Amino acid sequence: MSPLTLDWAVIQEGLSLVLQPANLALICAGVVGGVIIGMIPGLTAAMGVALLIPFTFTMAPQMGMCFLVAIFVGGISGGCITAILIRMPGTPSSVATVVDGYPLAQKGQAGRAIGNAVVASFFGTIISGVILVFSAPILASFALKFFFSEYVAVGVFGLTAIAALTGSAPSRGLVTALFGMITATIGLSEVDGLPRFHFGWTEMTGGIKLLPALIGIFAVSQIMHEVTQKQKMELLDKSRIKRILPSWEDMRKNLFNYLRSGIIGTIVGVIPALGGGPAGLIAYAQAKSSAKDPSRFGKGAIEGVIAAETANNATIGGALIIMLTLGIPGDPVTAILIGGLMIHGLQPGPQLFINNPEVIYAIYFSVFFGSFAMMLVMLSASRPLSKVVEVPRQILLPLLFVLAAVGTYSLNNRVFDVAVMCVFGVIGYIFDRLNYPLPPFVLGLVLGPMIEINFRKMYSSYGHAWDLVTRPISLSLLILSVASFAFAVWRHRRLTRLSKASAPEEGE
Amino acid sequence: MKAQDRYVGIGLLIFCAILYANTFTFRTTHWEPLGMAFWPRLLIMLLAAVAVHLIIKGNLDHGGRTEPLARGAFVTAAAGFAYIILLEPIGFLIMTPIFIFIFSVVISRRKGLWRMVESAATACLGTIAIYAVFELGLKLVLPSGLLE
Repeated sequence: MSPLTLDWAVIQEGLSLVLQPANLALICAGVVGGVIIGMIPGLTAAMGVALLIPFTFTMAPQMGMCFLVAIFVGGISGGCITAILIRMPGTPSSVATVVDGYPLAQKGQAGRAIGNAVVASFFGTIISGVILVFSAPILASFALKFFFSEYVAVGVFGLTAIAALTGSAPSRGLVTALFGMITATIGLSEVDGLPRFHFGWTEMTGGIKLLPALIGIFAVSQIMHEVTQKQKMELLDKSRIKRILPSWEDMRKNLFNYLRSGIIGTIVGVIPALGGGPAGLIAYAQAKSSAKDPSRFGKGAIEGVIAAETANNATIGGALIIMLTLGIPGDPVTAILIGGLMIHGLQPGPQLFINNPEVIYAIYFSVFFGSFAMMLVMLSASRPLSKVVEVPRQILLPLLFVLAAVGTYSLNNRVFDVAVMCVFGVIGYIFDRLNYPLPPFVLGLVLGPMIEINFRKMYSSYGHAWDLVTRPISLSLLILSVASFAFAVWRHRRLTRLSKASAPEEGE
Repeated sequence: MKAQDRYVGIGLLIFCAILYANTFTFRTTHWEPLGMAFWPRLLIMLLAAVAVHLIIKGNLDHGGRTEPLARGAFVTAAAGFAYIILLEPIGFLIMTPIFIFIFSVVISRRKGLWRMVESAATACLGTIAIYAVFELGLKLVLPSGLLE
């Protein structure tokens, strides 16, 4: 069966599963959990999914994925409330929402800003969900033609994409990516069945599992950072949150804005390691440049809030496209989702569309139902939910640490995994404080084994690696990789030149 | 921190040297031409090359600032590590309230008795809630330690 084949029985099975009351309740619970975590500045959607993933161990894979996707949707959406009310994006995805959201709140239009942000988040998720449904099977059926060389080239492309996206210092991205790839070599080599880098420890022969490392990198490192933060979070005068439902006028005027920002967000979501923050900023810049009066932006333009929120939520569908079809994590959340699939013995990639289509459809439906649930929850309960940010750190942080530790322990009932989580928490904290980006680490951890295994299998099968440049798909991907790397080098040099040029001016 | 990338580079070079030396302890295989040390060595050499680049450059921020590493964060990690080490021999139901209580008291900015009461309540209720969800709800086995 091809991934392009529509099996109505499976679609019906997926839909009926999602529509079961228990599953709908699970989606709502996931959305609420995600919204709460997303709202609290410092806690990200990745952390939310990482902390709540143990709850899926005892569930069927479809149900587990529905729950995790619902947390993903809620986590990305929840960040807008604090971005608007306290000028502090709950998640990095909502960074562009602050620019116009907070000025609107200061004008006494916090309800209008939140209402429009929620509806924009809904449209963003739906637009990217539709693109996901139609493009994922096409990409998956294309990926079925992949052999060893293509998988090596896909992995290399995924890694070079991060070089282009790691700010003004690509070498730092390269360090964390290589560190992730080396980490992935610890333990049993899949090709040989023999251990590497175990340093005499029996536990190390099992290797560093993906989830403990990711929970450490994203949850524990963030807890370590939050412990040292001094500022107290206070909400704006809540009486200013009046009418939350957005007006028909605001929605009607922004129909094209929703569509454009949704498409931008989906495309950005497909590119590994970019995520919701840059998507929101790009869509915001587009909305501003196409506005009749761009001077309103930054002073409380509702179009800016809508563009940012539509785009950051649209990255959900984009990230799921490459996760499901190629097994490449578009962002840290999808890396953890890959871990969630693996726990249930499922490997993301084109074969998932053929062997477990019910999981794919359950994910599709949970994106749509999750976004509906998110809209309902956030429109009806924004006011009480916003109080969550006032929970004192001394209550929140110890509980989050224990939750992370217990969740990691429950993966394999091994204290070693929890120690791994803690060690990677420290590594993540150091990298983060020194401005070494963390998403490349995740990509290295996931893509490293993909490149090694396929390269070595190709080499042992044919005795050479010429397939990489003689097969059209792998050659195209390698050319794209070189172009991506060249772009990174060019951009880095340009930024260096600009910063050197601006330095004397500042001195004057 | 001035020249922070240089220090990172030096640390990475030491890390690479240790790992590279360890690759010689890998068993040699005859069924596959590249061998299982090929890939790790390639990655280590690449990382070492980037480390040398960092040492030469010194600081990649061009005058930008990075946030300093806070001692409190490492103390938290050390406390967390101690909790993890003691979790299995002592048990979840004893270690967790102690850990939460100490963690909460140390980071709390409240004064006097209320600080203790709030931390104690967090420790007790938090432990019960997490135990109920994982052990009773999800049927996952948490370390019972001394209570076994």
